Amino acid sequence: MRKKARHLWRTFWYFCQEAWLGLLRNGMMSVAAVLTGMVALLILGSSLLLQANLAYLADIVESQVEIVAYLRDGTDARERTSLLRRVERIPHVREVRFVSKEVALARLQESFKNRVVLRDLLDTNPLPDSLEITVHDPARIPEVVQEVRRVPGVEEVTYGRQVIDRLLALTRTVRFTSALGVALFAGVAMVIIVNTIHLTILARRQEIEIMKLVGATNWFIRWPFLLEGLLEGFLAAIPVIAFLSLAYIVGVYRLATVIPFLPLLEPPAILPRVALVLVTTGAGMGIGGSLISLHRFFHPKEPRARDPLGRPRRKPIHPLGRLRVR
Amino acid sequence: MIVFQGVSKIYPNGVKALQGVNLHISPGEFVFIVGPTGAGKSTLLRMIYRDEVPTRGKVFVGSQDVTRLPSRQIPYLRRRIGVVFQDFKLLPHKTAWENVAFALHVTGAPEEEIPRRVGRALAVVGLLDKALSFPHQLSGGEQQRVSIARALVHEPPILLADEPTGNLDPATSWEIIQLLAAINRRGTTVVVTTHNKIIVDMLRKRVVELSEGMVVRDQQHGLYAQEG
Ligand SMILES: Nc1ncnc2c1ncn2[C@@H]1O[C@H](COP(=O)(O)OP(=O)(O)OP(=O)(O)O)[C@@H](O)[C@H]1O
Ligand SMILES: [Mg+2]
Repeated sequence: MRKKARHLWRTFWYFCQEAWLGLLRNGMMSVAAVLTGMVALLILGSSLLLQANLAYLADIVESQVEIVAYLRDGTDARERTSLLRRVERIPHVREVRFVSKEVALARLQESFKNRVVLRDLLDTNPLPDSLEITVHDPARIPEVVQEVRRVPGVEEVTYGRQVIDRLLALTRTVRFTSALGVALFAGVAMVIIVNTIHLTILARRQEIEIMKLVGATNWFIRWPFLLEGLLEGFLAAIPVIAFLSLAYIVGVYRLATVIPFLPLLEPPAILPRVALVLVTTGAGMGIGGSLISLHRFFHPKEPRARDPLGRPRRKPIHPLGRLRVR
Repeated sequence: MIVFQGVSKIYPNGVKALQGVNLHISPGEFVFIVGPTGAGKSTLLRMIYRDEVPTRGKVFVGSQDVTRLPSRQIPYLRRRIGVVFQDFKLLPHKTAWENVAFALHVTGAPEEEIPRRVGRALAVVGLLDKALSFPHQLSGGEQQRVSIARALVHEPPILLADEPTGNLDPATSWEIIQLLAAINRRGTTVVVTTHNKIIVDMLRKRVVELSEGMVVRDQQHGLYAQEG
């Protein structure tokens, strides 16, 4: 068992060395593949961070959304109580709070701190009495708003839906444009990877031919090339992850000091997930590129051979003959 | 045991390389395949190690019909058949030792067995003292010995040689053929294609002559050309 494990490990090590040699041999092509891969992953990573934060923000805003019903001026205490009862009986309503015009003014004053003294500016209080209504489920807000509008004594109803809608629209735009960018650069990266692997295959054509002749299995022959592609994918992903992590940590810290109330995802909550996606995508690009290249080399398009009756043959005619590139 | 049953090969370009070939080679035999250029000698060898499949007919190696071998089984067939080429097919940046070891490495042989097996193969071809030379530092005959050592390293029951002396001078050719004969005496089935009249006539082994893809002569203790 130990022997077997050691053998597997040696074989794997051999593949890694071959892959690394291939990468070095291709020099500038490998660099180009890694760099374009990096651009694709950088777009993907930043977009994921942005999207996650926008979604987080939308969630928070949504959970804090309240319906505010402004009451007609001159509503007396008795009317107020019955109004409150009616609103409380509307389905999905969780809590109803009465905010008198005096309290509203005090709050407004609060938000201005002491820069302006409202009492000095206004001789009467222009703010109406209002009800602050919270619901159990933010998705029910539109229905509840409809109901509240019908209650006599309610003059106007507002809620924070617009903010959420705009946030969601922004998220969609970010997702769409970044998807385009990722697709473009990932495509270019794949094309370059396909070509670098192809160069490696050509450089090792003689070796491959001999490997086949002495009885190496196809998978044994393919592994080093797959690893070379994988390596290129990893080499693209790792610096991007390092850069984005650092930038995000610093960015969150900076923003937190400038705009303290802006809700941002904590780095540990988002970075591991983004890193995982980036590594997987990088690996996918690399392995995908290698597979395409290997497939093109081992199964080139050639006129389908026919048997004497003119039927296309199902089996390849000369599996090794393809290696004799003319 | 190698058996050809009514084998024909028509290449996709329409060339009829073999036509209705029947052949039976017993274990331990030494067979020369002769015939003019284009007669189908190489094609015949390639059928044995499944580098080509016949258009018609069957080819057996042991009890196995190699024309029906699933492609994932081909590597295991080739480990039982050593192949030697006129152009040696050695890797230029590997030493003689590494070229032979390569065949074991890439077939996943146990690492600790490799030195012993490579050493033995190089000893059989008498080239242990040149083990650390690169191909360009070796003479043609020596390079051919390395490629024979590589073909032998799996200790195959069958050794195929496609014009192994094509690039060598008469004396060296003779040495190589002697080596193949010695390998045959140890029990390995050896099939050699050649244009070398002198060698065939000296050895007086079984001779199979091909002409335009057909077996026109199959003679024990034969000469290069038909007597009389
Ligand atoms: N891969 C191929 N595709 C098409 N035609 C081929 C192929 N290989 C060989 N041929 C043709 O098949 C015929 C037999 O070729 P083969 O190589 O078997 O001859 P040979 O007896 O080995 O000749 P030589 O003595 O010159 O080596 C020739 O006419 C050759 O042109
Ligand atoms: Mg030939």
